[in-house]
Amino acid sequence: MKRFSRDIFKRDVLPWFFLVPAIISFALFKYYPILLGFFVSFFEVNIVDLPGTFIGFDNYIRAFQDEDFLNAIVNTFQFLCISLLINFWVPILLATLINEVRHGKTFMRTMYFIPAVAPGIAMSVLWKYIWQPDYGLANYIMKVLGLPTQKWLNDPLLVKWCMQFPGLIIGGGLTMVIYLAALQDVPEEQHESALLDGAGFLRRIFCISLPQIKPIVLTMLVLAVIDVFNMFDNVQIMTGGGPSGATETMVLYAYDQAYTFLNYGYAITLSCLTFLCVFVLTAIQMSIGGDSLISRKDKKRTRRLRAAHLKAKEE
Amino acid sequence: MPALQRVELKSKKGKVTYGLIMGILALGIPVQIFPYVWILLSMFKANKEVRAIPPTFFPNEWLWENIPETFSKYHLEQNLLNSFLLCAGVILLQVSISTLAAFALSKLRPKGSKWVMTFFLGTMMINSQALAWPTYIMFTNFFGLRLIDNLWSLILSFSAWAWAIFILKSFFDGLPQDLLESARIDGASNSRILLSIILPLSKPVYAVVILNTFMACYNQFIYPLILLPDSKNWTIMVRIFAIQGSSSATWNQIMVLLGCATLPVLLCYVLAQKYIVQGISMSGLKG
Repeated sequence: MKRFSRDIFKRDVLPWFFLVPAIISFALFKYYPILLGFFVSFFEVNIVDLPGTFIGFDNYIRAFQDEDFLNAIVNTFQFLCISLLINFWVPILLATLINEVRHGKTFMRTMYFIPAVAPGIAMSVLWKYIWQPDYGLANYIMKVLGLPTQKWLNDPLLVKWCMQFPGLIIGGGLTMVIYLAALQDVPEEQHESALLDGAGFLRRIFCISLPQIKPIVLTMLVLAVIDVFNMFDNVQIMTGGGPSGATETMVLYAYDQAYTFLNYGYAITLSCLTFLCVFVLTAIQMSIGGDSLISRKDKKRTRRLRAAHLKAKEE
Repeated sequence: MPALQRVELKSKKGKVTYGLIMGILALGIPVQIFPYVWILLSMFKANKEVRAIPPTFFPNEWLWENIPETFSKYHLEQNLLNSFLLCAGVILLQVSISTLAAFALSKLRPKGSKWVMTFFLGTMMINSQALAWPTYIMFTNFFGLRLIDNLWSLILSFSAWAWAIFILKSFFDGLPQDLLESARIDGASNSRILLSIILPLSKPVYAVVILNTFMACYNQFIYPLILLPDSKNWTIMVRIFAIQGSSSATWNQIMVLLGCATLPVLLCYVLAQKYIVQGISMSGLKG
């Protein structure tokens, strides 16, 4: 009997000592802050004497009456549309093309992946330089082409397009590599037999390759939406939210509320709202992964993909 | 597999299609490496030349002194050091924590470990941007300590990363359970098994995890911006942000800054490309 309980101790209790550091770390630095966030969103936070004064739902009511925040939501949706229009399909196209390469495929993949290695902050600064109205390269190119020069980042109508434009011409990166690997898994026999049936090249791309990677495209679609909701770095660098609030995003607005106006409680309320949006989207994405139309293998793959991609966003 | 079949490549139409694809891709390559080339060349230009219209491609005069000037003006060495210290700290802490957890989840599997995995993976649904300000509030009084302006606040908050545990666990899952059983029969303890059997077999996956941790950590922006307000603690990314917004900065010096910030990650990628791409495909698609 004694021996038996020692075995149980060894098998079921000792291993937990290996898990404890990670459980503490995840509880303390992931779950606790988000709960703390929801807790203090009901307070007028006083940073010296936490949590401050209890004000109930006032922060939330304020958020939905705050024109600047509503403007940030509208901006988010506009960014989303632009991103879907000029960014989302670029990695798919690139992956499809690179997949056809027979000699020097690794070289091509490297060349189209390498821009994604550069720190996003550094690239945002470089693009800010390119869009400069008086000496930037963009206006130089416009002059060379004989087109009227623009104010780019200072133009409320153009600024969102300018910020998403880099994704159009340098759109490879992580997503492209993931699509590429998925395309390589499309069985060759399917293309062979389709060719025998007389299907042309484009027909085969649209009717065989793309349907095969559809689950991944859907996953990436949701991830692209999540990206837009999380926009902060490039906006903060390139425009700081201007001109006249045209690029204010939800995260940036929350940041400004805390950093500039020291409204910590309100800023955290806004953070909680963005968290809820992203949370719902992730839940949608997971249910796409569980769709019965997708085979088990794909399901597994989609779930793993999520992990692969979230790595880029998290931390 | 390529959609264009070998048979087709022999026909004229196939050749044209293939040529067209290669042509488009080849035309795209200069655009892809343009940012790097432009930063590299602008580093050595005079400020006037960086802002010149029409722009010059190669510097008229290679001003090597731009680099030491920028370093001494902004104390970049301090910022780079902060970035590297941060990365080193995170790598040490996070990889050790994740290793222990992944080992237990993969090989020891105590009762209830499935729930623990869900507990870890669940954090992927929390976006880090939303956590930034609550984390700030937490560190203003962290068990009686004020950790704002202290690298530890960042090292600690990055120590929880579900991706690392996920990758390590799936690699450990691939190691045969027999190895473990025979070691256990020989009387090896769990920690002994981890140190002498699992770790030596797992070098490739550690390359993947460490490299990706380094890149993710080095590129962090919003957390250092919030948690390290004092300029002597800034990481290189926060320094870039501060300088590009200040009026005293000149564009050639900003370019030096961008170059110095990009070089470490670029080197990392060039030296260890295999492992970085492997990290994507390991977690993403294969297996």
